[in-house]
Amino acid sequence: MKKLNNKGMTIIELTLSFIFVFTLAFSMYQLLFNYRVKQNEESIKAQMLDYKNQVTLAIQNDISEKSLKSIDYCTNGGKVVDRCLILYFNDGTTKQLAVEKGTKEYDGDEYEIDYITYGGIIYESADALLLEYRPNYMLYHTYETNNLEDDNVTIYRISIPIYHNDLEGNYGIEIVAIGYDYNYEETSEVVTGGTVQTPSSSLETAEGRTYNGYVTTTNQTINADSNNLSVVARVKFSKVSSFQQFFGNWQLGGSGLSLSSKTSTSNNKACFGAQVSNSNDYSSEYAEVCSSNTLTTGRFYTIVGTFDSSAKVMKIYVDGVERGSKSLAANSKIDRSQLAFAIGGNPGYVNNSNLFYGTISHAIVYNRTLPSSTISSCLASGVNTSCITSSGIPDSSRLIYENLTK
Amino acid sequence: MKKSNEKGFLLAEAIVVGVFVLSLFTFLFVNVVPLVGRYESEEKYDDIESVYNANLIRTMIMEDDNLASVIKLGSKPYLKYSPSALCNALKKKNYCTALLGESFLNVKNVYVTWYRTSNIKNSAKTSADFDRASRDYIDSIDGFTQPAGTTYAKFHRLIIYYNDGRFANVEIKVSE
Repeated sequence: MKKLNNKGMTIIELTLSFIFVFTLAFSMYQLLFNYRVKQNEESIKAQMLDYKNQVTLAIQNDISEKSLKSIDYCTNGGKVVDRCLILYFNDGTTKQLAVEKGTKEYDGDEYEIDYITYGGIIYESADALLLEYRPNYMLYHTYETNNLEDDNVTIYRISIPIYHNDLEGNYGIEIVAIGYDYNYEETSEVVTGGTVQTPSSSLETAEGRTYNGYVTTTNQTINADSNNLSVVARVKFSKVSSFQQFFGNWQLGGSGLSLSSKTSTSNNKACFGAQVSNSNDYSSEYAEVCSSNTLTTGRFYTIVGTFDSSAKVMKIYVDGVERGSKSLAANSKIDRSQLAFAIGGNPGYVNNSNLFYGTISHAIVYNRTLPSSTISSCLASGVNTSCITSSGIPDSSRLIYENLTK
Repeated sequence: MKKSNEKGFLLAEAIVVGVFVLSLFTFLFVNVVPLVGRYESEEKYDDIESVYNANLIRTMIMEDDNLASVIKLGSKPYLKYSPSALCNALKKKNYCTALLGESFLNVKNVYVTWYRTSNIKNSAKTSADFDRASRDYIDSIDGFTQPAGTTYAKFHRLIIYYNDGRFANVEIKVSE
């Protein structure tokens, strides 16, 4: 009878087995431990990025909505304040960006960030997130040019380096922005210093008054429902590529002129827009007609928008040439606005966006549709109001601002 | 009575089991590690700064008088510009050089391509104009469909490759 093999494992086999199992278990542990560390890092990273995004978005929103003019260090009694910048915008407002130092200090010049303030709003990081600030790094670098080719722009870079003990690298706020100094002319100054002509007795005397950086007029009767209408402005833009409403009375109803359309905000076309309703179906919509050509900075244009209530046609003219027309449905009319015409902005926008940048020399509203022949002969290379006649006599059915100078 | 088989594993059996277990681990490793790597590289895609910065480049190109020639693709799937090549092609050369330079946006390359990205995706697989990082990014971006209310032919796409390895893409309107 053959003997059974009952020897079992030798000590060597046992040892090898243990080594193998231990190695395997150790590798698994290392792998899991690494992923645990990584998960922790990613959690911190996510919080860091969330914090950074909040501050960045707040600043970038202002830059895109209000147009950055310049950035400078904050000062107090003539001395530069550390960790503080002031942002100047082209609508005349300013906002302060500052890093508030916490109590905890690290080696060297590093210390804890308590919070960041921007425009009076405090941005605190999550409690568990200890942010380190390493001064003197609230820098801004600039590239300036006064070269005409480059449109007088300044490139700014705001840099707030933020670090975390458990992470490598900088998770700070880095913003590059373009400052446009348009030598922005408050239209209130423009109008009050100019010659204001009195329209016919059926219309109120035109008077400019200051309202949030642009001028509204007192006249509300010129754009009554269904009226024929011509809106004229001679303008020079110091900035393009943004939606600028420079002469109109948009507010629920109303009409006016703009650079670029409401929907294509940077196509640099002259547009005549109006809130139009249809008495057939009681519908109401914003209708506009834009020029086929694009406008640029540094030269004057005479822009005319007309509405013919009989033909139901809106037209846009640039320098005396018809550059676009839009036919409206039968029974369409321009709704009367609740506001008077404003020069340099949209009177219906409380937040004062879509402001005009540049110079306006003339702003005229006629309560009739100027014929194309009149526009081509009187509003081609300038504004010749004495040339614009009705039945052979100078037209007085108008609200007119001309020779507007600062 | 039948004898019990108490001989233990043969060497061959042990090797087979060992190879099986090893294969299993290799399979897991090979599939999990690239996921982590990909996740890490995608952190550099379209983050808030690089998208805002791409918008500055878009605005600069759109405001330039030489817009039409810079973005004209013709029959090409894409155009690749180094910062110097792009700035030489634009009228506002000094401004462009400063903006794209190290002090500000620190751009490595700018690609102009069609609104839909299928052409550049195909080209990126084989063309020497793309390194591995740019190839991976282009592979990761959406194919993009037609914007509502307009046609995609009115738009091109800018892909910005920054020197710190980040990427962003934005559309650019080329005609009305």
